[in-house]
Amino acid sequence: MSDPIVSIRNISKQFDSVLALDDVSIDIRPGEIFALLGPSGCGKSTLLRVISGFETPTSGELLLDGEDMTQLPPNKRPINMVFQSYAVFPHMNVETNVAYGLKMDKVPSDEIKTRVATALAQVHLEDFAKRMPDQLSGGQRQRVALARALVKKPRVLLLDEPLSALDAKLRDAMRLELVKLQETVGITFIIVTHDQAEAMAMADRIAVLESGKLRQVATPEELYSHPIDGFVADFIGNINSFAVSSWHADNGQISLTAEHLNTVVLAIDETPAFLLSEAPASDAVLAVRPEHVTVSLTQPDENHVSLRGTLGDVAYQGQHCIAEIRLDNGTSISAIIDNALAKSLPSALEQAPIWAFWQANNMLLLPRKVD
Amino acid sequence: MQSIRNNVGVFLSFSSPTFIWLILFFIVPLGIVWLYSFGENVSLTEIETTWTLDNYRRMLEPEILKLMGRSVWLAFASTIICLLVGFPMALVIATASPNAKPWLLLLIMLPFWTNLLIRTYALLNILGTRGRLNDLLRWLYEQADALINTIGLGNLGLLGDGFTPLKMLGTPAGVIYGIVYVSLPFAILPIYSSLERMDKSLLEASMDLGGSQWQTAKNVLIPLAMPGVITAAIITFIPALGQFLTPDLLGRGQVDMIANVIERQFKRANDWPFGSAISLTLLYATFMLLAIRSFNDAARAKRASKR
Amino acid sequence: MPLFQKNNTAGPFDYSRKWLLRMVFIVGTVFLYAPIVVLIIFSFNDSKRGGNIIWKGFTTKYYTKAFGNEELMLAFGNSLTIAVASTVISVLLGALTAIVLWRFRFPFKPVYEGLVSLPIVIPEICMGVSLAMFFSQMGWMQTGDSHWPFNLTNIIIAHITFSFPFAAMVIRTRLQSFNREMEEAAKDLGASEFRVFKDILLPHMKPGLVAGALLAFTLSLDDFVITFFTSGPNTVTFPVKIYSMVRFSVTPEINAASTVLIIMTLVLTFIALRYQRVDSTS
Repeated sequence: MSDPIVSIRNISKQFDSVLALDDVSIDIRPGEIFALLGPSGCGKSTLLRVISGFETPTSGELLLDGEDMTQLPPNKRPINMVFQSYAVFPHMNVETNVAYGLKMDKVPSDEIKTRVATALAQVHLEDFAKRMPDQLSGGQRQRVALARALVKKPRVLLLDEPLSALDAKLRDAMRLELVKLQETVGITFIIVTHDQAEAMAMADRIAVLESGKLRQVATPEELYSHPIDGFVADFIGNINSFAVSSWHADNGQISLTAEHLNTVVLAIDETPAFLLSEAPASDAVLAVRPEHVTVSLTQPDENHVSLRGTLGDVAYQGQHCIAEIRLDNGTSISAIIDNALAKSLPSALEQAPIWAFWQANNMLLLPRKVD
Repeated sequence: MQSIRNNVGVFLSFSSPTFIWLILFFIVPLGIVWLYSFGENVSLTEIETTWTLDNYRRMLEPEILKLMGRSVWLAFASTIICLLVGFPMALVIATASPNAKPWLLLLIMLPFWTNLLIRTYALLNILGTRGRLNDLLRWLYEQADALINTIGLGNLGLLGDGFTPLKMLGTPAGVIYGIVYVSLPFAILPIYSSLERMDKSLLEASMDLGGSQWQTAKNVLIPLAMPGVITAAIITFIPALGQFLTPDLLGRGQVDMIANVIERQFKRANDWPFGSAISLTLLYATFMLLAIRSFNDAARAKRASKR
Repeated sequence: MPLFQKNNTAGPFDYSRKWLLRMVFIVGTVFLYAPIVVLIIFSFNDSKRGGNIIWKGFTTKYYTKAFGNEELMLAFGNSLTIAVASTVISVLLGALTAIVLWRFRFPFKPVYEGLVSLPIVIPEICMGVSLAMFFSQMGWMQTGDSHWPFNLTNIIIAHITFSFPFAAMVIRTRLQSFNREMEEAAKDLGASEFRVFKDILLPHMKPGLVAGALLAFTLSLDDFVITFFTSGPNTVTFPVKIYSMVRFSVTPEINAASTVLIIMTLVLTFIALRYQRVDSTS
């Protein structure tokens, strides 16, 4: 595996009384699309600002191609950013905006001309060179911001919530286009987003942050199928979790009891460390994704994990339905079922008793939260 | 917003010119006024600060007290009229169509950009006993008179013996007219901006819940516009209290206000210490009004933060 | 104007379409404009008395007379000189103040902020008196005898003191709409602090600077009270001159001179508006 292009080493950032980043270390590989994902206030934007140089970390260091640039001001870093508001200069036309960074580097003017033309062509804005920003749509302004950053041929391109200001239709198109663009230019992209679907669709690898801490770095598939804890599992797609009440490990198997469930037996190589720690058993959860859950009006056989509840709302989603199964303590779980099955179910008003069931081997045994 | 810690040099070079200017040409002059207010005329040209309180004591003389009382009530009456007229005018602008709005605002603001002296002077043409206002009143009188005669009530003498022109110049009414005239745009703007920000759905909610037009205005519209009304009242009242030109030109020396007394001490009576004491009293009154306003704002902010 | 169209689809809260409120608005507007309009009309009245009642025919001779009045023209020139000089310095000081208040967090900031806004709120007679006493204490009242334009120094200083806080206010409002990401974007593209200021911040401030300048200019031309106190016996500005003429008698000549000033202010205001409109669409 090649050397990392950006190394984030033990970076912490303190704002007054708030610890925005808590000892975060990530290696980002050359040529990948890397996503920083997390709910708002998780520290992902702060991390992006540390990489771009607008924030100096309280501790830790930042390496680019193995060289320390923690103290380098933003105008001296070979890293460029596409801002969330795009920050296209309103008093300059498209061309002047794109040329600005090259002018700052004192690039000769005929070279500026050709490079600006190439960059504008890359983002399909050749015909808009002389337009002023307020004559452009939101999507076009974003392309200007992209071209303006790319024209400097940065080592790394940072994108702060690049799709959040676009409408749904345009967002999907832009997702694909960004990925294609990255393939053409070959520059490493670091994308900040709060939208897990966006991160899953675009990124080669994703870092999940929460409360300033790094939870997990993995490919989208890994994150989905092997989340490190209940938080990541819930943040990456939906999941139904059940608190474990007791467990017993024996001979490559572990049998667990959890609220609402009959005994679940899972095959394991060794007892997970988080179960052996001092923490009570309820800090572990058993979790199952809604697409693995199905429902029946009659009790399923013993080979399945099952629970009994009443049928709640069934929401039509197009190619499938999401059914809500209400449990007796007021909580509910969800199941993705096909439309034919949904049609055969009685209406929610009847509060019909119903069984939800799934295969034990679809269950994940996870710590509630890794600290 | 950034801390000055890393930019002391930039901060000092940006802030010190203003600071020095204000100290030299604002604070020091006010300091001199303060010192002189405790002073005495020792000769025709010399004043000594003897820390006497005589200048302040003299303000309790009936003549001066009467003058201050008059200033306050003239300013107060003008402010009330400005608010009563300004509120509906602001309401019309705030709810006008988006195209008309800037033009209506401009219409109100244009007189404000015109020289104050010229505007006051222009009123002389209007308010004289043979001025335009009396022309208008005379015309109205004649129309009314003719109407009464045609319906056969002419010999009852309902309108008196004939038109007597209204005396405005040299009367409190004339001065109030003048103050309202120069301050009305000031009163309209803050009310307008508070109405402009108001969410129209609040009014609709009131009506939806059964409130009549009038109840909605009384219970929703006016209370929500109150911050703007209070600001309008204060920024109308403060300059009105210190008016010099209006009482000078329209009051004809018969309706003097505080500022005219101050002017007299400096330009004619040559009693600077007394003039200083009155000026400072006017200044303190201004500060008190501003303090009331910031208390008001602070109380509102506190209530908002508790929510 | 759409406001005055007949419209039967008015909602319950279209206050601008209620006839009673409209009446108040129209009467209020007439109240504001009638004196000025009458003044302008009577500046063309062929009568010796300016406050005169009777229309005696159209003439422009009082304009000729006003322009021929050397003292009046001198006063006018003084007023323009003072306005230009105080505007330049007011905008400079106002811009610095606005940047400081917008950009920095520092101890005693509320005090600084209050100090800057004080000249806006205190009664102008107090300011006039205090500056008059200050200048006489410093022995600067004699500048009336020095050569033009130095005899105007006192008045210029006084005008700067009351107009720069207004300019600061206007410029600060403009700065508040500045998107800090613009500044970061420029830095990210390699610009130094100075380039950021010159390429990004200054162009953004420009409408604020122009608006601040026009405000300072109008305030300076408009001021009577403070000038009245700080001018020496031999330095006369336009309002001070008009004041002394008004005290003497009301003449059509004053009407004519006033009309000229009104038109000038109108033109300036429209230039400002046109400029702002152009700026907001480009």
